[in-house]
Amino acid sequence: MRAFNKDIVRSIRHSLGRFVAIAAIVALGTGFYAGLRMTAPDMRLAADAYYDGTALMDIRVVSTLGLTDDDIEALRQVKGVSAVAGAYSADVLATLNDEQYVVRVHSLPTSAPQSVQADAATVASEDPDYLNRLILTEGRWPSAPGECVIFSDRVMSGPTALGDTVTVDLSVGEAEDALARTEFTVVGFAHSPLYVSSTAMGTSTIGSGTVEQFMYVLPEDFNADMPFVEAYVAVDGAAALPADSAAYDARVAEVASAIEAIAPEREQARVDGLKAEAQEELDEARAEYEDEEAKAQKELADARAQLDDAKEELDEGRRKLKSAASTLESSEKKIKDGEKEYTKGAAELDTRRKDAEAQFKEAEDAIAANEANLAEAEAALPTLRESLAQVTAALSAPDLPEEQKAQLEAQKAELEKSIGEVEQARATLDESKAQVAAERKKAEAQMAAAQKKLDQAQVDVREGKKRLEEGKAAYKENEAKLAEAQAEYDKGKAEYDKEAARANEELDKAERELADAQKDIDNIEPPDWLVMDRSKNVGLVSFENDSERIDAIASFFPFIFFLVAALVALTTMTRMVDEERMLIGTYKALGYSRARITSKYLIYAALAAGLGSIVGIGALSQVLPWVIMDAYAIVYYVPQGAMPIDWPIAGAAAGLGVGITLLATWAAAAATLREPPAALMQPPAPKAGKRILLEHVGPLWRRLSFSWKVTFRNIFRYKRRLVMTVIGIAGCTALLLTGLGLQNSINDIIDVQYGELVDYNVVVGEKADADSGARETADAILSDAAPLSVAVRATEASMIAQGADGAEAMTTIVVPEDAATFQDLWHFRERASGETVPLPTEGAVVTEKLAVKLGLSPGDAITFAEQDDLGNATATTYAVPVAGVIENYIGDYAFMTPASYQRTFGEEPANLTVYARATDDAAERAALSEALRATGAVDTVAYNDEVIDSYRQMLKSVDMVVVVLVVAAAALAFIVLYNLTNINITERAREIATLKVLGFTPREVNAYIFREIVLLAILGALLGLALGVVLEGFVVVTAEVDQVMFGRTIHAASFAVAFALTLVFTAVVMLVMRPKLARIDMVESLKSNE
Amino acid sequence: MAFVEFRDVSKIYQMGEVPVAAVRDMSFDIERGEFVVIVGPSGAGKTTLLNMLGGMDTATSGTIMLDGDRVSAYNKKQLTRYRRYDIGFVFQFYNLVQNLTARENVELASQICRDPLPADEVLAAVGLADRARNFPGQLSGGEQQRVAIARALAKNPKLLLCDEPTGALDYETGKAILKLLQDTCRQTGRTVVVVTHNSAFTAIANRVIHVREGSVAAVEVNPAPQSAEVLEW
Repeated sequence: MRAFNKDIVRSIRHSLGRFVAIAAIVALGTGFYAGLRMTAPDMRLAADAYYDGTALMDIRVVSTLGLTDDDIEALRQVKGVSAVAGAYSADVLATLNDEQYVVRVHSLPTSAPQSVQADAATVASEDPDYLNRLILTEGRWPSAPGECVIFSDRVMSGPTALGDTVTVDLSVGEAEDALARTEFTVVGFAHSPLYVSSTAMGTSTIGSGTVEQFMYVLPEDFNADMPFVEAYVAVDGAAALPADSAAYDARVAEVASAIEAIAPEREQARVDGLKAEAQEELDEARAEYEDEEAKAQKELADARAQLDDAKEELDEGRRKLKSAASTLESSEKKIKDGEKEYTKGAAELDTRRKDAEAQFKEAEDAIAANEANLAEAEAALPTLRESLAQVTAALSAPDLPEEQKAQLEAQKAELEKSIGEVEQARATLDESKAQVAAERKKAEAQMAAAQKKLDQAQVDVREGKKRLEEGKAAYKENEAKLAEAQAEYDKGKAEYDKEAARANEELDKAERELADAQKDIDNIEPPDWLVMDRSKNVGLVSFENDSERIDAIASFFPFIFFLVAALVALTTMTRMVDEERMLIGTYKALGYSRARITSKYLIYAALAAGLGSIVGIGALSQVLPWVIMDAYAIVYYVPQGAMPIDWPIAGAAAGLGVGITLLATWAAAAATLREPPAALMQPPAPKAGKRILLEHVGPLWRRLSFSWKVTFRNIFRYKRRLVMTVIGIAGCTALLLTGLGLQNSINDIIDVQYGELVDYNVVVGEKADADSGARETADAILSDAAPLSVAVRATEASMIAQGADGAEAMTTIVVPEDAATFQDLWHFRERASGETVPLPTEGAVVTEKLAVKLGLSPGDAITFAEQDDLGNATATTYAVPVAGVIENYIGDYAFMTPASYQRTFGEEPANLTVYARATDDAAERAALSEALRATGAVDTVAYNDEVIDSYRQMLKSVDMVVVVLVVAAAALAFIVLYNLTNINITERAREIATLKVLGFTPREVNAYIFREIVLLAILGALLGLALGVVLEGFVVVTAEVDQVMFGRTIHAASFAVAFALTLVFTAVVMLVMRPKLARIDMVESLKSNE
Repeated sequence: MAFVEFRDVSKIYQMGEVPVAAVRDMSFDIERGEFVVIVGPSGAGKTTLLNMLGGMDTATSGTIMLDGDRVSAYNKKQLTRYRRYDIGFVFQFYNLVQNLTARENVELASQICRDPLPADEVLAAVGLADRARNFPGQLSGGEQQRVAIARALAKNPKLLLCDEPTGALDYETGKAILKLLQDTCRQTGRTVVVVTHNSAFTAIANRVIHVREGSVAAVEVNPAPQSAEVLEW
């Protein structure tokens, strides 16, 4: 038993070449299988680690009307939500180093500067609400307004340096509403888990339609009154689940539907809030309006009142004038009357004077008479008075009797009466005298007064006359004045009327505006909440898809290796069994069972295959994922993570590798072991020479030298080796051709697209809402032949094209105004035939990839659907017949004539896009861009060079894949050829020795042996070229990315190189094997057969 | 000067530290046209001698001359030319190329020579004209050896070296082969050297070289060799 084991160990030691050959091919097969199969899981694992490490949001909530703090709070309350972050963002068109990009501007979370990068894929932060954590790769965080960090990727988004300035074009898109400034200084570069792919950063409604750069700025740089644009949500427990697992999807879906459940309420709240806010504003505006209106009305009323006053005054004046006229008239009459009266008065006075004179005479005469009478009485008076004094004195006596007293009293009274009478008469006379005198005086005064009055009247009349004259003059003057005032009034009135009309009109307008605003407010629709999980992030999806592509390739590629491994094992073990024929016989003779003996070979093969599996899986499961992820790293920023060995895959790979080898070994050993021991002790009957088919082609065969004949006979003598070698070499060549063809395919994207198909190098997009002056300026520049030798206007529209079987593709419809000239800029041709395809008046010409994707061929109908805000197809569709399919590599396009467009979409072509051929001079180009943008009518000026550069960079990622394929191909070639040569040499050692004895030169000996290998290699290589075409086609179609068609032709040079390289590998093997051939001793020829 | 001259030829193998002489100071001559048998027991140095004479190995010391050429001074390339043009070799196990017909096997040799004999003629000479299109596997041992002889002769060599040419053959066939060799020598005047352990063959030789323990024990010249037909062993 132990001796048997020793035999196995020695067998290995003595046939190390054979052992290594089996181990190596199994290593290659299992390693490739395991490595490729583990790549996708490793990529997903790395992605998961990156997403978890950067706290990538699980759900993104966007509201069409923005989100409020209340909304954020409401989201936080949703069951299963572990963190919520509100964020601002806006898509803007910005210029950076003279190139224009569609930039998505985000608000930098406030916790970002405090975060700590733990490793390549992890950012630690104490703020659980800090989601989508940025990895700062260079520079620092923005600390002041006007600073920003931008995407680290400088391949796809152009060269930038710290300190560069990003200038935002406020006139495009949301920029003006969103941003508080236009200039930002780049202070840092960062990666964001929201953008894992630098080629798929998302779509935008502005510029080229795709986001090309991102930028994080301080929240202060957004307008203060802006609501949150979006909310990032982390789902509790989701990070613990693998990001690509169904469990994760289920968990997130659960929370997403919980969020959707609160959405209607929040949407209503948002619209209510907005309405209230707007209403308040409107109410304020209305109040203001009302104030203004009142003021205006008052002003108008004042003016009216003034006018009325003026009118009244005018009327008054008129009245006055009228009265003045009558006054004048009456004055005139009065004056006349006065004159008459005067004359009359003067006469009357004269009469009165005469009358009065007469009366006075009479009175004076009477008085004189009375005087005389009185003088008599007065003469008696002293007596009387004496008597009175006696009486009085008597009376004063003391005892005077009463009778006397009474008598005396009576006498006294008598006396007093007589005196009194005299005195009375006197007084009366005096009075009369005075009266007459007074009368006279009075009359005289009256006369005088009358006279004076007359005089006065005379004066008055005179004066009145004068005044009348004056009055008449004044009247005339006033009359003139009044006329003037009337004119003025009329003017004022007219002005007022005009002013009032205007004011009214303005007020009406304001009123209407307010009503409109009110209507607007009443019409505010509730916003839509879009609850999006990670599958709506194109970068993440693209990464996932690419990992799946690798899986598709992994399921196909390694079978070449397994097939070759089986063949190598079969031939090698057959040779080993043949060599040990006698030994097997001996074992049999010694009584070892067939199974036991077979086990030797099975153990040998299992050890070789097992070792190969371990080495191959161990090495390639690390190397291949690394290489592939490294290649993808050009486009994706997902830091490479741990690459753990996936045991089920490793087990499957090793099982396949070992299993195939054991099966082949068993097949190799079975036939020999069935022979009886006696037969085994004999040398094997040498394989008889046989005529081959070729010999029947007499003329050809006769022409062959003997060594060629041998070669041909040998080739057909050992069919297993033939198959092994041809398949192995075919695999080698196929791998080479696949690698080179892949490179061709990808290079052709650029080389054919921009070298043969497309002759424009700049596309200018005009703003739809530019004013006519700006547009004219832009048009003038665009039609200037100096910078743009050919320019064609066209209309572009983005629609979702739908095929017959429900396939969909975002398509750009291009409608050139001048189809003939446009074909100078974009050559339409059919790929296979190379024939030119004209733009038909009816229907659309579509690009090849689009046609294939939608399963369309000429004559079918292509349906275009309008898209909603989310980019989903709506029910509004238009069908057009497909008139032709043209070769195109980048983008999905449909071309139509303006007439066809109008018929289909019922819309005038807007012709806002200009395809043009610009000068190659960089300075002139920059000046052109500058001039165009300065007009304000131009949105985008995009040179193809930028696209070309990006693609060229991307292509470099393929180089590494090509290297891997070349290495694998070389390994395959070496293993197979080494094995074949080794077997051939050991088996034919005697023949070779004989030839040497016969005097063959080393060269002739080499040729004798190697010619066969070269022939097989050539045969294999030729087959490999055919196989390679198939393999390359498969890989190209599988690896193809959306919107891009890889080239479909493998260049002749690639065929040549793949073929030549295969022969080079063959030559290398021959060089390696030559010493072994040289070492064969001629003495060998003298020995017996075994 | 003899056709073949061995003068003090030694072949010493270095077996580790110990030098082992397979052939020591061997000297003999062979004349043109002779049928020579070199005879000796196993391990006597016959094969080494043959190797050196056939240009398959070099002598450690001494001189080997063939037809005036100093073979012992040849380098590898010259030795190849020597084997190619001057030597015809017949092996014990025929060493035919299995994948070539009888005639092709002959051509294998003749195609590399300067002045080959026509293959068909040679084959006819060895009596295999009708088997020319057969593969070795379809021929008997004797026939195969005849092909091998034809192959050696077709080269028109100066010297025909045969290593135990009958070793793998039965008695009758062996005798026929010996006769063929002897006839060849007699009829074409070609020098034939047969190496064998069978001393019975000495009877048919013009010259017999006895080899023993790496040296020439004796050289006897047989003025009247027997015909191979009557040979018995």
